[in-house]
Amino acid sequence: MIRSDSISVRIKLAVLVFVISFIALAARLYHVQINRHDELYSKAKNKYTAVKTDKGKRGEIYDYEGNLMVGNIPCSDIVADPINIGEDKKCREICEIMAKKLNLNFNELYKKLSQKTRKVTRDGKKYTYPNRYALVESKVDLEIAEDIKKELESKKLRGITLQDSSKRYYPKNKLLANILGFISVDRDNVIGVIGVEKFFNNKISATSARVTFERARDGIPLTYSPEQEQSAPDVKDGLNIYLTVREPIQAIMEEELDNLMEKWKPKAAYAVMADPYTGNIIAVAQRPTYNPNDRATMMAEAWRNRITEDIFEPGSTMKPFAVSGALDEGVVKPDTIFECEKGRWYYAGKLLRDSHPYGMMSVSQIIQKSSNIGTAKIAISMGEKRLHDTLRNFGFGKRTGVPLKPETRGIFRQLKKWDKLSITRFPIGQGIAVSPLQLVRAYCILANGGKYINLRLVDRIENPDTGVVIKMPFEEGQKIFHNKETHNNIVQMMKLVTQEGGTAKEAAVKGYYSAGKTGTSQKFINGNYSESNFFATFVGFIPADKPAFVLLVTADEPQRSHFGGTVAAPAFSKISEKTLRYLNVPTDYNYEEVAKK
Amino acid sequence: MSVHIRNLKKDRGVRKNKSGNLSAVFVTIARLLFISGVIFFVVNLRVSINEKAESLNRDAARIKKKIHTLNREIEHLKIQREMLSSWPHIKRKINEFNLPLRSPDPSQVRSLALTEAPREKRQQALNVSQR
Repeated sequence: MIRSDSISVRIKLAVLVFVISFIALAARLYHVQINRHDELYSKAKNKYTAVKTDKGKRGEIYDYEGNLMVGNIPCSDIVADPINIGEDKKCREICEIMAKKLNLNFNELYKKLSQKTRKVTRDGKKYTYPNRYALVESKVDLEIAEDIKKELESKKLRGITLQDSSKRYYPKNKLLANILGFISVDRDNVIGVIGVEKFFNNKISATSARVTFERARDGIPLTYSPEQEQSAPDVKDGLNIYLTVREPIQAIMEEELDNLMEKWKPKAAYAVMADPYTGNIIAVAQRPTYNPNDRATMMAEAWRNRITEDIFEPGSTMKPFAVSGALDEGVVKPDTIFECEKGRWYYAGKLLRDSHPYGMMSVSQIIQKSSNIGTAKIAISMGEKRLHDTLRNFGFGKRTGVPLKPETRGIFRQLKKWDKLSITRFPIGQGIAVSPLQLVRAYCILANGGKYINLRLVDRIENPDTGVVIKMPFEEGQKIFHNKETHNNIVQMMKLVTQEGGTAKEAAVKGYYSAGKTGTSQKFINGNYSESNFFATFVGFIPADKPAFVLLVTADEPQRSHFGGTVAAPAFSKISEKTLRYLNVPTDYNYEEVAKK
Repeated sequence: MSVHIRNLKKDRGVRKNKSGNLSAVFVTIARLLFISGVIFFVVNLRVSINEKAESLNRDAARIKKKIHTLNREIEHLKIQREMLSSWPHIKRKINEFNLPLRSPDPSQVRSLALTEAPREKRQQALNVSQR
């Protein structure tokens, strides 16, 4: 009986202990799970949750055939954790390696990495925190970064991490630099400064997103993480741009432009080549230029996009437009004779001169010899309205449509603002200013038989995520010639320019007929035409009867000579010859027979 | 007699109840064991699957990282290739190695027009060759 009582008491005690323990446990559980829920949950969350920023790739820029012109070169940001580096000896060792490999100052680096704490003043109070982040160097070449990593690993040095990054890279250096443009990076913001990089900045910019994920101890994301699913990143790469430019032809052009710069030492020079049927810009170059990979040597003067921003008086290169208008209207025929006044002619009280004293000349000869007086007389016989409309139809005073900003409209006065001299000066390229692109477009219209076109610089845009390619539209305008013979007549006249007796024999290319026109225009400085500063231009198309391209070459203030036929025409010939060979354009059928004669 | 019978009945009932209780307990324990076993098995299976999934996840992450590194290397090589294949670079190397290269001359190329010889002449030519 006594024994049974004792057992009963023990059992009761045990139950009591269990009950008390259970109550205590429940209370604790309540405290932890309910009272301290938020605090502990956030602590735990901080421990296993990580946040990273996913960034897409900025779109690349290619030439027509898919040669990379602008890309993103992978590199690394080298970051240090001064606490993790450890003792002073190790810190010095790391600094030595880094300073040697990255060409950094040892003392400055040591000062940065040996700082184990950082002081922060907040609300007037000073706080000291452990320093766990120090940027050693950003955008380090991948090979150098890997080299550093290996050396640190072999010496068992800790506290240095390589973070993936990339930088904009222009693998062709100076090639097409002014058109491609460049970017500037302000913290995480990428800003297109000039060129295609600027115009298409919104399209080629990538998106970025912050991704929250739960991770294991080793940092690897866990398979199942509801938060990760909720914050699924919408990271998109930028669109890729395919230009109409063809790299091999661009290289030919740039090489010849360098030769021109070396020979004639002009202040600037530019060349533009376009397909007259589609308006595609095949090559475009300017000097001075810059290497976008080498920011230290970049001069602001070289950034400017001269082909869209600069304007110049086209001089005699305007003559074919006025004459073609007169031919189309039936005002003149190729063999209509004009008196060229022995090189001196007064009109509206002002003297107009020719470079040589010409007498009676046909319209063809006026173009061949580039007579100002003859052209002015043709324009007068046309009348102001028809001349104005003709020049307007060739696109003067209108933008060319290339995706480059800013683009000038040039200077082309409205008809009501014309004075008495305008009709004699505009057709010879005085009192009117054009951009190189406007002139090329006008010659494209002339070369393709009179169909109005706009120039194209971008051929297609590709979405790298979906593979969808959007072709940029090609808009063919109305035909501006009403007479079927106009095109043929003007081309025949322009062929004479590059033949014996013409002003640009040096623009001829063996095996092909070329049609073109020289331009030697005085620069308008301080209200007067300069006697020493000129633009020397040659613009033409080749083969003349079925042109593969239109090419403009201009030298701004060349030395020793200032004639378009002497300075620009040889460059035209060399660029054309190499390009025709590259494009495998068959020679003109009659050429060898003509050459024998 | 009747008492005896009753007792017998009673005894039989007691005997019956004891064995019935034991078997019921046994069945219950067996059921519990079975359920516990099933739970144990399911939990273990789940843990094992999770472990495998995490292991695969870790492998996938490692491979992903490797792919990412390789992609970066490919990107780097692509840029280098573009740099090396650009004309300014090639020209620099031609000058550096003083290579005796010259521009092609189109006059070196001649086009031949093959016209079909008349059948008789062709036959004659064949006969001559056979002899």
